[in-house]
Amino acid sequence: MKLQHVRAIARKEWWHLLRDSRSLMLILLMPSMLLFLFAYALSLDITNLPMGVLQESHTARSNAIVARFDGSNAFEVVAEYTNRQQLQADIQSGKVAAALVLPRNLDQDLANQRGQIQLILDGVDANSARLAENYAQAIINDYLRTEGLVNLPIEIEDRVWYNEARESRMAIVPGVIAVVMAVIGALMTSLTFAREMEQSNLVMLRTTALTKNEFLLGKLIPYFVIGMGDFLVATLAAVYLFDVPLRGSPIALTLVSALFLIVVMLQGALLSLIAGTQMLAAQMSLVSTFLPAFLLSGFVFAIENMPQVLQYLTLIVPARYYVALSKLIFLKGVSPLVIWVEVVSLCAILLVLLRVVTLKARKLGLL
Amino acid sequence: MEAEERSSQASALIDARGLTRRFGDFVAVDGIDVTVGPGEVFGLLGANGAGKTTAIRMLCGTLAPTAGSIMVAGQDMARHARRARGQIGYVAQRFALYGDLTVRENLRLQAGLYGLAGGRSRERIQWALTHLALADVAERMAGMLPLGYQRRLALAAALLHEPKVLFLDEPTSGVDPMARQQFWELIYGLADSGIAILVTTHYMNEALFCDRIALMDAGRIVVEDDPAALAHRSLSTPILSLKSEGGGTLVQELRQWPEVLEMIPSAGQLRIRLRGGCDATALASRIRGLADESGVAPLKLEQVDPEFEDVVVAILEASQQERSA
Amino acid sequence: MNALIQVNNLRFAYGDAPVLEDISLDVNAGEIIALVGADGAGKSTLLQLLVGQLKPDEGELRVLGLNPTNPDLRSDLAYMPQGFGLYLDLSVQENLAFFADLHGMDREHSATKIRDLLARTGLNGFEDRRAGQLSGGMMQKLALACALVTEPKVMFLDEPTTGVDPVSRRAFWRLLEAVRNDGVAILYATANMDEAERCDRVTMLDQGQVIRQDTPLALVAETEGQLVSVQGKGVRGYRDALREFPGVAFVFPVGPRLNVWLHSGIRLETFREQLASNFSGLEVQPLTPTLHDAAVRQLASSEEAGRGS
Repeated sequence: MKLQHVRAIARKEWWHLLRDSRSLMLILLMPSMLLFLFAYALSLDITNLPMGVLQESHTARSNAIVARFDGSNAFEVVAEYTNRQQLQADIQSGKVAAALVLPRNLDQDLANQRGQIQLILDGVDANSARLAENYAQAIINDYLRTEGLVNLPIEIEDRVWYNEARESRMAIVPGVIAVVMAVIGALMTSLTFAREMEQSNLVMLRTTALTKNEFLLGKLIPYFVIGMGDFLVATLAAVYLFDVPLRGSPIALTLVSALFLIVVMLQGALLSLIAGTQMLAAQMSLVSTFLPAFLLSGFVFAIENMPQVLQYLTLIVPARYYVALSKLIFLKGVSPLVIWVEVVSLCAILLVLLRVVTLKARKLGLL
Repeated sequence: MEAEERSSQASALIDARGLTRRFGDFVAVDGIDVTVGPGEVFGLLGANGAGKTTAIRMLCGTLAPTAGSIMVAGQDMARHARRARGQIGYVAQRFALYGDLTVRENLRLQAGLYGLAGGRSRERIQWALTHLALADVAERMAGMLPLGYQRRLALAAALLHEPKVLFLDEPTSGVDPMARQQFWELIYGLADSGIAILVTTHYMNEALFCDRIALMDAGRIVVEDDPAALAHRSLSTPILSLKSEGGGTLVQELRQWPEVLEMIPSAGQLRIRLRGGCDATALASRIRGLADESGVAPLKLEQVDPEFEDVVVAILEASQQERSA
Repeated sequence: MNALIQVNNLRFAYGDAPVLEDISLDVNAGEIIALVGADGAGKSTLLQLLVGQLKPDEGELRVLGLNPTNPDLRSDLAYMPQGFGLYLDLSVQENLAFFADLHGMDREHSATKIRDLLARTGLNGFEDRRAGQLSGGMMQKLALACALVTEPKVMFLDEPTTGVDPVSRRAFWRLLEAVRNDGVAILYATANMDEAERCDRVTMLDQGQVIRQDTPLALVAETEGQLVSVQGKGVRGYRDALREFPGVAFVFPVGPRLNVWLHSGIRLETFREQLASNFSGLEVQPLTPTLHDAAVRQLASSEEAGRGS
């Protein structure tokens, strides 16, 4: 392998990029756009969330609390229940998204400076659930304050059904980074190979002293640099704009991200070789990277709650491992050495892809 | 014959005046006139980008002109586009039929698209198969046929609705010289039956087959004439024809002379194109002197008429110089 | 002298379909050899075999004495495919720099080389223009310049003048002749006889077979009979009548004139007199047959012979 050949290809690829305003926009705007889109759009205010109420005894206090909820912009009390079965059925069917359970001895407990109010939330939409919880807490605190019960602790026992593993808003950002990298990595790489095949350039390159590996490497390097740049931007935005704590080692996070990026780039390269045209390659890479990274990675929907078949399917989604790794490094500060299973899985996928890409390239007579 | 020609001028089947098309600031076609009479083969010659394609698209009615008028077989393209288009047969340069249908199926499909019904459709398809010598391959897949056959099939499909005007886009590029000659024989047969034929091409040797040629450059027609008359135009760049044997060193030497623009081997002779304003006679005697010195006597050295391509090149060079000035 | 490009008894088939059969040719240093034939005659396939992109079924291929698939060869050969293989979104300068890079040139050498090529091809002043925005003629010059960056000893050109105006085509030929004079062996595929005529020798391909192979001069000289042009008002209408005329072998209408091949032994004067006594207003001129004329004549007679048997 000659370094100069690799450099020649990489430099040329760089020129292509600088020429192509659409790709450039994609690279520059995509990470920040997606980050804002998910982190903000998902945290939009809730209004008139349908709420069910179960008052185990109707007292002045419990009625007042219900009235506060109904009077707020966030909630609208649409149903009153007399038993839990009914309430559960309605949450399950989606008729109500939140339920408030006021226990029989609420008045007494409050007088005794204790008490427990239960808030049950439909956790399918993790984001609304989180907001609902915050609002509910605020409404109750406000009530207690006006009643002169400021110092009374009161627990809201929220029971999120369906998405028990829901995490705080912090969890979104590492997932977004995975999506950004998957899209940038795979989409850009898939376009670049297909472009070369669509035009007659390959025919000409084949008669030069260039080898297949030099070609592959040279083409991948610029996109790797860009992908890592996007990773950096997204991570900085996460830490400084969204106040997501980076508890683990930044180096570990970078290494893991680089590993993931290489995997998705190889994925893009493979799709490109299979598709042969830019149009098809772009479509295939979007469907096979963006959607799985979004839906099957555990980013939006918890893997444990998926149907068994889908759970197995997630095993071949590289984003699954990356989301798990980055969440743990970000939020819990775990070292990747502890969670080596994910790292090894990503490495395994990388090796398989590398083999398939070189085989496919050879079969196509690519150089 | 003279009178016939004049009357054909009057009843031109294609009559476009002041045809102009702009794309933003760019003027693709700049006020050209195109007139083609019945039985005439008219060639629109020009390089890629000279405006041929835009002109043809306007004449076919698939692109609206920015300015100018188009009459096709007496129909105004602007007002009765559908009727005017019904008079046109168009043969694209690339094979535009279905490769996975047989020759007959392609023709049947095309007849349907032209709105030909039952008996009439069968009759026309039969005519096309016999007239264009496709009967032997009627049941074969169009995509599997040699290029020459595919071109004939495309021509057949364009003729089913008996158009009065036929547009051909580089009809014989890429075929062998004999197939080209045969294809033109067919086209002349169509011209004999009174169809007006407009050919677009960038190949000199294809343009030679036309009765009249308009040469386009940068959206304008820079010259229009019949090819034989064009070749008799006097050029500012004289041409000497040299025939000599074993004159390799002579040729090497001549190449260095500043007066020599280029040397083109043609028909066994070397045609030496001289720079504008050169005294051809003086130069010829200098060449003779040089030949004597090196011991190779030229068999023939004389000033000759330019060839068609020389004229075209000279006109284009002048036009390009004018533009860059 | 050892030929730089040698093809001996080459046979190549795609599956069962033979594409090239028993092809032999050679190209010496400083020669341009035309590979002429219709689309589908096998020209491009032969070039691809010679640049090592395909492997022959039978026969021997040697480029600079090596097997075309030998990677050592690659820095000494240049290939201009149909459509040129340029990067249309890169500038003239960048295209050249890329191919120089691939050749392993150091920066200084490549800068000098590129400057020299830009000057030679007349592309200086256009360094920053994107290849896609060049005219056909300039694009073709750029493709040639890119091919020449590597200072090749052999060149394979596949219909390089398609879509180019005649002014640019002549300019291209002047460049190519300069390259030939530097001792490069050039194999030039084309469908045009008039370009073949500019080459040193011509190999005519038809359906994968060599039908003729010689210098243009010899190919024309071998042609039987004399070519005359018959002109006059409405002369095309007489083409069928002339085909039956005594002494006439073939009649080919070409625009407003008829190219008429007389049988050998028929004198021009005799023909002119006989024609005048049958038709009025027709003018007969002797024509020097070009390679194109000769090829049509030969193909027509072999077709006639084929029909007769």
